[in-house]
Amino acid sequence: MDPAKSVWLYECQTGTNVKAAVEPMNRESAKWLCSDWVEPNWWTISDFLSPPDEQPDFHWDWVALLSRDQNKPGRRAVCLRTEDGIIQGAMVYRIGVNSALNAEKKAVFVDRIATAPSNREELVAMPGFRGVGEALLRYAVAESWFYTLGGRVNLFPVANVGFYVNRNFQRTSVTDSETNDILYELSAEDAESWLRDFGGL
Amino acid sequence: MAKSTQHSNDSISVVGGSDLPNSMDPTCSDDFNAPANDLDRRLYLLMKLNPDIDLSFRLDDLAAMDDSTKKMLIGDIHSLLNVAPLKSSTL
Repeated sequence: MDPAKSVWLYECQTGTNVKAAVEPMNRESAKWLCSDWVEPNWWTISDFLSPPDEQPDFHWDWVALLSRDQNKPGRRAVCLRTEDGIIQGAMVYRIGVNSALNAEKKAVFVDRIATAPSNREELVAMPGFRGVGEALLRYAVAESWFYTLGGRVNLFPVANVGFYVNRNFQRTSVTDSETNDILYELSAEDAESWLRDFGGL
Repeated sequence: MAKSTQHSNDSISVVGGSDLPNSMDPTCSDDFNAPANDLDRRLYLLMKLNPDIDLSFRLDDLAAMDDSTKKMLIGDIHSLLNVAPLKSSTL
């Protein structure tokens, strides 16, 4: 089985679904994602609806994350790139962490996901694409499936817990000791069901 | 076309940023270097995650294999573990 190579995104202007390639993040793409690196980057929009520095990821240093994770086989970082060459979202994840729902099993941990600011309704009047974050999450489930982890995915939501609950992510007893954020996990049964729903299986 | 992406309202702009608790530490931790290319890396990790699979070669042998052999091996591991292939490479 080959791993997934692309995802569908909804292009708001045309009202159509378009493909975006999933590509490994490299130093060049990581630099482009950072807010305080060379211009232009994906924070370069002149008319944000709200202050961009209030976004939780504004100060994420993707280059540092990439350096932290490079040459570590269980850690990966990917970007979604549309045909115009623009990165529409990015994700850092770990493969083979413990499952919080089933102690005998492993899972994929979504360390972080960020969609391009130009796709965020809270930041721009007309987002370019919708479904970017969900597409990255689908990819994480597919990666878990590829690595024989049953599609199990866990993560710390920073907002909108309802989104995950609606997709059957379950609250676990695991918390982050500093932030008290709660870990949510998608079980293997629900992951397989989700894979079938979006045509993956 | 993927059903779930049609008119999907992206409600997750940002996820995560919290550290993984020590209790969740991955078995495939940071104590070895990853193979250089993506295919080798995938196969290497797949084998590390499934140590019970009886394979007749060592991880060191990866460098001597061609890509089609590596892909075949990945397919064999999936078959052994009853992992159904994805229907499409686009999700």
